[in-house]
Amino acid sequence: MKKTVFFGQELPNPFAIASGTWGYDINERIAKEVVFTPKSVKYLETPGNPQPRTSEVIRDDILEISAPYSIGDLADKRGMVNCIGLQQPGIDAVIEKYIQQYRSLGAKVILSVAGNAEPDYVYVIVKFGTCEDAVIAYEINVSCPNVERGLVFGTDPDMTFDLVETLRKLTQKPLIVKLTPNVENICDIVSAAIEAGADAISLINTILVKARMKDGREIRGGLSGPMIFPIACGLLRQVRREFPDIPIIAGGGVWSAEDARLMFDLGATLVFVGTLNFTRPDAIFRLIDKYDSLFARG
Amino acid sequence: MNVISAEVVKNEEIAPDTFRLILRCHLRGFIPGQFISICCPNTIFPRPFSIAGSFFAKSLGRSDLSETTIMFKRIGAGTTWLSQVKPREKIEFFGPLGNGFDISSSWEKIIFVAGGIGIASIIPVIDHYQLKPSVQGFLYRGAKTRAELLLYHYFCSDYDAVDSTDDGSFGQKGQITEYLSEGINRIKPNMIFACGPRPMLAEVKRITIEHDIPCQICVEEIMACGGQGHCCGCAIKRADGNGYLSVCQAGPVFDAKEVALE
Repeated sequence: MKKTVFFGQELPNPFAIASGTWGYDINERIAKEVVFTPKSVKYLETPGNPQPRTSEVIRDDILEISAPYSIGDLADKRGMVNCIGLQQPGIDAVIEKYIQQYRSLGAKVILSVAGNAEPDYVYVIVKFGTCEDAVIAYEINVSCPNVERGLVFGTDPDMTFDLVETLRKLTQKPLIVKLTPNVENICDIVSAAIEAGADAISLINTILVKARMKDGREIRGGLSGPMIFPIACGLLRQVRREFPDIPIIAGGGVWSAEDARLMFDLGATLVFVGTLNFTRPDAIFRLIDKYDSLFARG
Repeated sequence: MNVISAEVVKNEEIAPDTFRLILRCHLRGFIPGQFISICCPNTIFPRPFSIAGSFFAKSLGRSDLSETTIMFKRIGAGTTWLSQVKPREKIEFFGPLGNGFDISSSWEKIIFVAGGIGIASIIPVIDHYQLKPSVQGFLYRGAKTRAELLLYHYFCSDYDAVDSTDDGSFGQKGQITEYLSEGINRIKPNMIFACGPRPMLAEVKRITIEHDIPCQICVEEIMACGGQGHCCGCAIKRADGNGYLSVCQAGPVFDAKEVALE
């Protein structure tokens, strides 16, 4: 595999584990082979939502779906909807339990930060200041609802700008803004993030859907998995066309080496693998091995 | 965590839509109550199943006799695929996963409560205690139908048992928990092990608290990541109202008092 340089760090390969798909605890292989993004962390512990939290869905079992994109005619009909509600232990617990592990394993970690209001993000980054040596960058997850203004940060360019501008002053580490696809024009958000000082963009987070299933179930939450791959590719192409130079960590339903190849061809700097990690513990390594044998030799 | 590839020894429909799958492998150090997650080629989520038994023919030195058993109901895409796998095919899984039953003590009298396919996780606990002559075991076993219940009879028949079916076609009529209070009064057990549907476990919890008997329950929940600990999907409410516990990491076996089941 060709080595990749990302923010001055030499990476063994250009793949990352998406936030929320591997918890916090890692092993040696992850540390050695991929960039690891732990589940987004907030200022304080949050318990998450009541059940049901996750549903596996097949397009054919969906009677009606409302989403910001057409989910009707996609090649791969598999997906999952999650409504976990960011169950996470809070920044203090993450520092106490995992940072030493990341350091000792020499892992390449991107700390994903979330919050309901600007001060939440500020607190996490300030609190994490003394541990910054353990991470290569911050991911600013702007897909959380803003309690004060009742919006999702990442759906409003002004809010995104204000947030990134504030955080920019707090750290020298690269800031990667993780975009929500649940917006009318994703490029407006990218533009605001870059103007405020973001160093890279990560896309996409899950797609908000409300689905009525043939068996009568009503499912709400974030759609991920192969079903959203074409949408992720479309958004990547759109962002890359308008912003030729910004590093982009891209993903969204990446399920195979060929999927990853397409994302690199569309301009991804790194590709992240998310929902696929749920299918089996070695899923990302199988994908990388396959990618290596198909595309990276010679 | 490694993915294990194991050959199917046998896959039989032992009651309508109920299967017993035997794999050629031994899960070293497996504790009753733990589970494995099978990687199904047609699903995203790996499917978790209680381990109904795992042995290694040590005395014979025959690793080809090593076997691990699970039992399952054919319900959705994963179990439909699994019901069709044939002997000598290989399937992939990972485990054993989770925290099993605390079987470190030899309680004098134990009641086992099994509802439906929940018997799968109870069978290895019974196997464990049947080797201990000082332990008296009593089995309370419920199922929907006669066919299903007779099948469970076959798998653990040595203990004194009270049986019930929903329609009364075998044993007592109704839910098995309707007979538990009387059993507790008569037997005066020191420990209860239970596995079955959530409403049954809620009732077992209520009754054991009322009688002040310690009780360990094995619960089921949807797991997006099959119990790897990645997804936070399999949350169960803590009884003290203080957030959630993860079924795959803190469970699937809990002290009944620890979790909210309603």
